[in-house]
Amino acid sequence: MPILAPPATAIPTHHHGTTIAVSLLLAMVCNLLPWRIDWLWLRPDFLLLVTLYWAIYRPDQIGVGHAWWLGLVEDFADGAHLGQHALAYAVTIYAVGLFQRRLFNFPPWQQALPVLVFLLIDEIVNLVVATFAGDSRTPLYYAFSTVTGMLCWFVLWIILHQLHNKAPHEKS
Amino acid sequence: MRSRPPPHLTLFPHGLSAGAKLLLYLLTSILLITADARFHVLAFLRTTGNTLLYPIQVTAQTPWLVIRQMDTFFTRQQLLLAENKQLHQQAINFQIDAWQLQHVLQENQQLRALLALRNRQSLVSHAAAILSIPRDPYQRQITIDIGSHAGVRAGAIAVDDSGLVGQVTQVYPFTSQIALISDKDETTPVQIQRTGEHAILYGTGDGIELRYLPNHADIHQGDRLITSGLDGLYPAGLPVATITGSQSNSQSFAHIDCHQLANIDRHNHILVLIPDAPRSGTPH
Repeated sequence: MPILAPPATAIPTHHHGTTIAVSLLLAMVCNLLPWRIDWLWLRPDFLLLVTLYWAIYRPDQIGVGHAWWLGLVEDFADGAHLGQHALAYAVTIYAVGLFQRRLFNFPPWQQALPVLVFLLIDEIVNLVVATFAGDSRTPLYYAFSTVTGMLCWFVLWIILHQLHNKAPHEKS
Repeated sequence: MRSRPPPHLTLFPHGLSAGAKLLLYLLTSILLITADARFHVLAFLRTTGNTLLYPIQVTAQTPWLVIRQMDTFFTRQQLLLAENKQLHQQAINFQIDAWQLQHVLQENQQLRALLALRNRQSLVSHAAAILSIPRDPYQRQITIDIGSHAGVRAGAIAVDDSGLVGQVTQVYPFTSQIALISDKDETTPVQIQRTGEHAILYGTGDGIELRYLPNHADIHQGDRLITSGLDGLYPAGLPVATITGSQSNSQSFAHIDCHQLANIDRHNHILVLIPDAPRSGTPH
């Protein structure tokens, strides 16, 4: 099982630009899918999860700046205050950067808890911004999407690791 | 052999430190949020961003549309025949209603002319598909697939077959955003159908409630609320909600919970009603 004891990840040297861009685009598409309104509070933020993955495995390609722009795109899609998700993404990816070297070597089941914390950071920043911008009502059960996000992390990790580790073999 | 170490492994990376970068982006975000939430000056940026997002939104929608079309394709013929028959029956009933309505409309116009009342505005309706429902707990909004190209204007109202859905708040070239009546910024002037009493329906973010009705107001569970048309924006008589319960607390106003009649979850199409003549109304 690669998920329990993954082989040591080689430090990648080639560029993954296309892979990263396509995976982020697909994550955006997942966010824009027409979800049933009763289940919306369970929907994790796929764009943030994929950004987290690349921030952990390719910190040279996805950093705070990219996260900020991706957050801005999410703001457009959500009709939220412009800058709300951008701020939350930037703070979250900065936090990832602090622990990147440790997370890089963790197997995904050990990454799950930090990922939950990062998703909570995102949720908290969103809550603070929305409160300051004048939204008084904050349904707290929406924070549950961080847990579903953590569960999605395993699936995403398997898919993205396939893409991530396949590319060099094809090239060489 | 590697010719060049990845930047994150170099000892002295060039450029700004991560902390400085974060600070820069934090400040930019705060500027953006302030400009957007307090001064509402970023409409152009919003329009551009949403127009660029439109292709992705349509792409996201495509698999569902294909699945639904396949589903329709394999529907049994018997089912279709039965439905067809039922729709025929319904059409005949509606036709009879329409004749009566025409008669009543004529009569109404004459009466209004007699009383020298302002004529009612006629409405143009556009069918629209729901593109996406954003997962922002702070806003209850949906995105639909028609925009200013189809003549949608901010302030137009949206209905489905069972009642009022909401009001158009943002118009982009190909899409528009509708605030549901449960959005916390939405207020709807309504009338209790049974008694004719006027009231204002407030969205609370996760529901709707009637406010500022006195404790002794004549209200029963199951009472229907319809739009009163007092603000000149909503046409009168659209079904909006039913009353689910009221609690009279120590204050002088009753707390009345309502249940929205429109159900955007059940189908993917709604109707946008646009006033025929351009008017200078602003959305609430």
